[in-house]
Amino acid sequence: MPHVSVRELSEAKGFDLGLALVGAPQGLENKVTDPHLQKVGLGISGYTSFVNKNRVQVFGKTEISYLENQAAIEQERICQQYFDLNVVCCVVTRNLDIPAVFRRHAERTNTPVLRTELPTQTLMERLSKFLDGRFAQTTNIHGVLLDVFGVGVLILGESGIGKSECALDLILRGHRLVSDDVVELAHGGPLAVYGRGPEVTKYHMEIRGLGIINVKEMFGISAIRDRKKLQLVVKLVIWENDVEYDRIGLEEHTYRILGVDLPLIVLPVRPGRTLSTIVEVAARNHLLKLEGFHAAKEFQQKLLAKLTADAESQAEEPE
Amino acid sequence: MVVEKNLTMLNRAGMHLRPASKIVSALRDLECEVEITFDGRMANAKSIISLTQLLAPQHSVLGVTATGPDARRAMMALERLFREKFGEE
Repeated sequence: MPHVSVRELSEAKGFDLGLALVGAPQGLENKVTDPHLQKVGLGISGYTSFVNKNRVQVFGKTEISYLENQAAIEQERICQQYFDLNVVCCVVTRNLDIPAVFRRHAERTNTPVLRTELPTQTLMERLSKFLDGRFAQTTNIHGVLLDVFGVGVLILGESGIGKSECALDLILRGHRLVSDDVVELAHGGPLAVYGRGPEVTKYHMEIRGLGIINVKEMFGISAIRDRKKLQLVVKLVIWENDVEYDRIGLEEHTYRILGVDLPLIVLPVRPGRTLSTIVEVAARNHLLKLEGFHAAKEFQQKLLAKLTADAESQAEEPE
Repeated sequence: MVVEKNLTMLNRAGMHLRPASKIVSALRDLECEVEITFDGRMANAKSIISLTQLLAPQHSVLGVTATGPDARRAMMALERLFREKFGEE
């Protein structure tokens, strides 16, 4: 089962969670196994039926001040009941002072307590993003991912068909490489798939006849990108004379990755065909479609309107 | 045709550029897809970059799956390369 340890939460970088351990370090290896967060709410009033112990428990002003406003004996009872659930960890926001009774029961049950200076909403947004990324379904794919005019283009095709050469051409035209040959894919939200390169091979390419090159060193920081959302899939195939390829572009094809359907373009490869130009134009066309302009459909409508008008004027003309 | 086998990295340096390139060369003209998995990572055996990101050290056991008309020939070629430590120590 995927999980994130409390230690990883407290050491998370890049999300500005600002979490510091303030109690019960024995629980640092506890495992969060549910990416959703639990805003404790009524859980600290004694109503614990819906507390999911595998979720990070968030304590804000509401929870802490509610607890502080109870009589001492009631605080004791509530904390005893709550911490007996053995929740995975507690996070206190806004650097609020932690009541002694809370600390005591956390220590008693080895429930780690982390604290941040962030307000509850901000913490929950950032922590959700962090956990979603860590729990995301992932897969590897053989292909090249580039950022072409801001469009995340994944180039697929058999080994040796020219994916890397096409990518190199695009880099020379000022586009940015995310990863060559191996792309690690993961969900970023239900309808988005993000790709990146494996740590050890990223920014490297193998160009037949030259060997391994490092794109970042050779072309600079502007030629690479760490991570990019996939928006368009281009599949390179060997040109076969008896196969009819798309000539008009009225039909939309899709390619499914991690349950997300992405627009697909199948490009037949033939000597003398500059693939990078076609990929670049495909990216421009994708941007136009995002703006609501679909060239093939627009042309078709214009054509049909003209044909209808001409047919009417034909009918009006005397024999 | 699908052929599956576990192969062990016997050479001391593990899956670095030279073994990877030998694997790619051995498979280049064969009509098949070969997938190699190790430690949750997956590689296309016809790509050097892809093979190196497996980070497979000496003694690691790799899962190899060959699919296609030449799958058996591919597996024989790979078994030989692995057995002979890719011509290394």
